[in-house]
Amino acid sequence: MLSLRDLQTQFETDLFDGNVAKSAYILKDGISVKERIAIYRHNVFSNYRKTLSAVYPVVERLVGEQFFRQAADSYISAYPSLSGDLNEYGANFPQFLTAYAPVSKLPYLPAVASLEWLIELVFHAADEMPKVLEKLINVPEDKYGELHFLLNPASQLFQSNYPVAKIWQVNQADWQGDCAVDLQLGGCELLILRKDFSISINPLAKGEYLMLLGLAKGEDINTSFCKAIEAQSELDLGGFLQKMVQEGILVDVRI
Amino acid sequence: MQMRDDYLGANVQSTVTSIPCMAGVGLRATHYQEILKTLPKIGWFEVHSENYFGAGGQPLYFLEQIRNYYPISLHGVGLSLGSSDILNQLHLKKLKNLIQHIEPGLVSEHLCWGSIGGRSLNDLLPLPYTEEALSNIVSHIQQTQDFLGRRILIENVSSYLQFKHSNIPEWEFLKEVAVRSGCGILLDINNIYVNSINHGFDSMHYIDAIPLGAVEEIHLAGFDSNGSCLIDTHGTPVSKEVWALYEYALASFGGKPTLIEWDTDIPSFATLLREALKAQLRLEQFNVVAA
Repeated sequence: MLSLRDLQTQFETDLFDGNVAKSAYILKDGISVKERIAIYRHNVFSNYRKTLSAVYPVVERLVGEQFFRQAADSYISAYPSLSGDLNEYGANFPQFLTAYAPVSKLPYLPAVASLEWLIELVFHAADEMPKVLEKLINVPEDKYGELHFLLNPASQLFQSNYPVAKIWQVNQADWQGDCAVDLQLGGCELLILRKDFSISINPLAKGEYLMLLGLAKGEDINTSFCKAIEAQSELDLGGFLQKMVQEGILVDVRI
Repeated sequence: MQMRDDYLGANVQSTVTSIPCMAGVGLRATHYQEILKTLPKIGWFEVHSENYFGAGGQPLYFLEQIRNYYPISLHGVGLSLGSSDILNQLHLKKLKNLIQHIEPGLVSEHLCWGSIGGRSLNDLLPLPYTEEALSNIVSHIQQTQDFLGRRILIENVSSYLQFKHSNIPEWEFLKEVAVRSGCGILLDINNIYVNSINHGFDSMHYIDAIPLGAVEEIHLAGFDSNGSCLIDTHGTPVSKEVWALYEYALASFGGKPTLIEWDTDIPSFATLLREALKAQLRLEQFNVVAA
């Protein structure tokens, strides 16, 4: 008799392999053991497929439903779920696509997937009330350079060498214009932000992106700004920070 | 939709947390706005706990809002109590946080396993009904109850296979789980019916075996058939066989909070309310007879 542990391990293997040679631990009764395991395989796979398709609608639209299903099935077998919470499922899909040979002709696809995963993270992220202004009241201006800003938890920064924002935009259900995207448009730097439960994808200039990236990593204003002006010499620090505070992108500050 | 005036007095602006002996429905994101706008007459709502494990955003906001008007029951699908793995502490902590935040009337999980070796299959998989599996799940339920500081309910699941070395009938196993761990039972009438067809046992005999005081909630749902097996899809109305078995269960256990589960091909809220009304009328009819 199999121990509980051996039975559960064997069942997992049989479910993924569809090979029932060793499934003598399942009662033969009416319909075949193979068919019985297939019911569970179907439930498990369709659950994951549905989850991936909900998180990665643009990737699915780009490759088509049938192709997406094949990619999803390969992913499901290669990357086991590590959480009982299905909302965490699919984090490695962009990484999987990078190495998935059948999509090698769509080099921008992993980047589109990364953007979609960040949107998912932003959807579930914490709500945070901005407290920058009240905290700055007591800070002398000559100390501003040493400040550490905190980004809104419901925001994510994104960078790609492909025009991913444009690709994402023309593949939204409500997009009315031309669906062609010229890959020569080049890359993009983006800020994904949730405000009043609606999520927007906002283009950033290179310097703005580097500035926010530095702050997100915990660097102070001076350090981030030094990197940012290398990429964008005309960056107006005061104006940019003010705008980021006003729009609720910088929500807190550590002195 | 016409509602009887005395149907399901809504707990408008109440802070009542306990689940009333009425019909409730599963809360789905597509219905959030409509519920808050119309405050329908329904006894309570149930949610899948994991869908509210996120740190913030829309799901928690709407759950908090709806919680202001209706009692909430948290129904988990991912704790994998029957696994031979140790319990996932992070999952438990998230559940505890949610409980502290929402103050649910009931907290429930399943008589199943879903993960092994740290990998999850995110499904409600059947257990072998053996003494080993029994003492394993009882110990996990006790740990969970100790950690959460409250009693939980355990729900029987549908199954499409049986393990050869199972040597305890499912109903005995469920009863023993409740007796040994002190947990309550969430009796899913649809799952009993589905299993009775799939595995050939008497569904009424199953109900007769369940200890009278243990059942605290009932689930009703619809099933599909794949030709050789009944599959618990939660995507169709409750069948007439399941309604009949529900009436039999009410006669045995008395009225219990009853949930209409509808998780796939989610219908309009009005359709859900109509299904709930069918359960509510049976609950009332039973209560009248009992009184």
